[in-house]
Amino acid sequence: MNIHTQHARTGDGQESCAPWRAQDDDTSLMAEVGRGGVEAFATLVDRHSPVLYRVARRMLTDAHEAEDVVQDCFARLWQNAPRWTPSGAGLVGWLHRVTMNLCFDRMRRVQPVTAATLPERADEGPLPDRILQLDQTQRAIAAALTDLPERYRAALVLCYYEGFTNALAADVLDLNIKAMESLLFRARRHLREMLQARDIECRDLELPA
Amino acid sequence: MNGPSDEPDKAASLDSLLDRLPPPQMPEGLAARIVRDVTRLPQVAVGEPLPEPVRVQQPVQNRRHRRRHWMVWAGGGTGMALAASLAAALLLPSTTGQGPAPAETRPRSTAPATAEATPQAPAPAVPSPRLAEDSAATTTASTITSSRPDTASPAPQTPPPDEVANASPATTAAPPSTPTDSIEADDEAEMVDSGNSDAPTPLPGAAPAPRGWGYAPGATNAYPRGEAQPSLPDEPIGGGGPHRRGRRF
Repeated sequence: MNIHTQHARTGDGQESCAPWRAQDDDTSLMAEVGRGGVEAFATLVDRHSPVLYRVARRMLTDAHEAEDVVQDCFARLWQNAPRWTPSGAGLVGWLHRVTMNLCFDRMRRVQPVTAATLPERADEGPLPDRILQLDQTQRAIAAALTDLPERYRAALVLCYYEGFTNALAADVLDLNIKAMESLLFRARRHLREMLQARDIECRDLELPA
Repeated sequence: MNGPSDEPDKAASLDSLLDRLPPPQMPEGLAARIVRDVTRLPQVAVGEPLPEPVRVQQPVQNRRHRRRHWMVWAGGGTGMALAASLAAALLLPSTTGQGPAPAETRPRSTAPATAEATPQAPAPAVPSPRLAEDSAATTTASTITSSRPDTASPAPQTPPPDEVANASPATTAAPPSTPTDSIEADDEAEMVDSGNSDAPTPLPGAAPAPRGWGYAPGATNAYPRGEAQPSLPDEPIGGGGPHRRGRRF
């Protein structure tokens, strides 16, 4: 499958053109960024930051953490632009790989918070009126995704929500294609089991008896 | 997307379930903030290498290396021992003018030799200067000891080195006798006549024969009974490792 024509699901039922459709432009823009071009860098940020933020937000479930991850990702892009060379999945694969690694680092980071330094944090949950609008299934699915292991969640976010092919997702996660398919299957099976534990049945992914 | 519903879908597919989650929206102004903050950072030059962790390779000394090292060490020891024996073998005939030194003329032997090996030679020939010095010292000691009539001198009388170097084997084998030496000669003559090939019993007051590897052939249990003793080098045979006895280097 040609990854340049891959369409991503945005979750609202519409299919939008993926940002890696203009990969050739990304290469030329990166050459300009390597020479210190701010305009080219702003173009790349406008093009790729929404997708990267969506990925980071689904991985981290924290808005501020996701913003920091996106900013760190583009900071690395800016600093390493002079010696960046296109390879593999191109700039899109590189950006997603950096974003995923940053997400993994933040998920694995242990942040001890003592009672004396407990910060005042805003409630990231939906407002009460919004909660009333959300159905039970949606909340159960969100909770199941949050409880998934990080690799499983990354596979589902990339292959399902972002519409990545298995090859491209394998390149992002630094796996071979077989390992990526196995990881995706196990992720879906694990999610189904977690949904069943929340009293939500799935008619697919039924395991043979 | 199926859209939110009040009733949970009990038999929906996993994809349709995942579609129910709304996509997160990026906050406005994030892209501009990223461009503003990130472009202040310096860029890495093209030729600048990436910092890599420094790894110091520790020397690995495996078993084979240790064995090889030991073999070199042992070879050196054996070589030194062979060189010493060769030097002794070459030095002996050059100083005495005779063939290889017989086993009975072991210079360090303070005990009387066996009957078979030393039929009439209680005093060993001292060819080398070092051994001559030892013999001179022994002679002096025996002279002092023999000055007291009640003390038997176990050490044989040995002429000075100059005399030894110029003397014939017969002269060397029969040094000027003293009363004590004549007694010893008589005892040895009896042993030869009776065919007693056992190791002689040290005389009263004599120092015990040195025992161990590569020492004097007069050691009591160095060789089987009745077997000719081979010629051994002056230096103890060493080499073979630090656990071996007799290593002197």
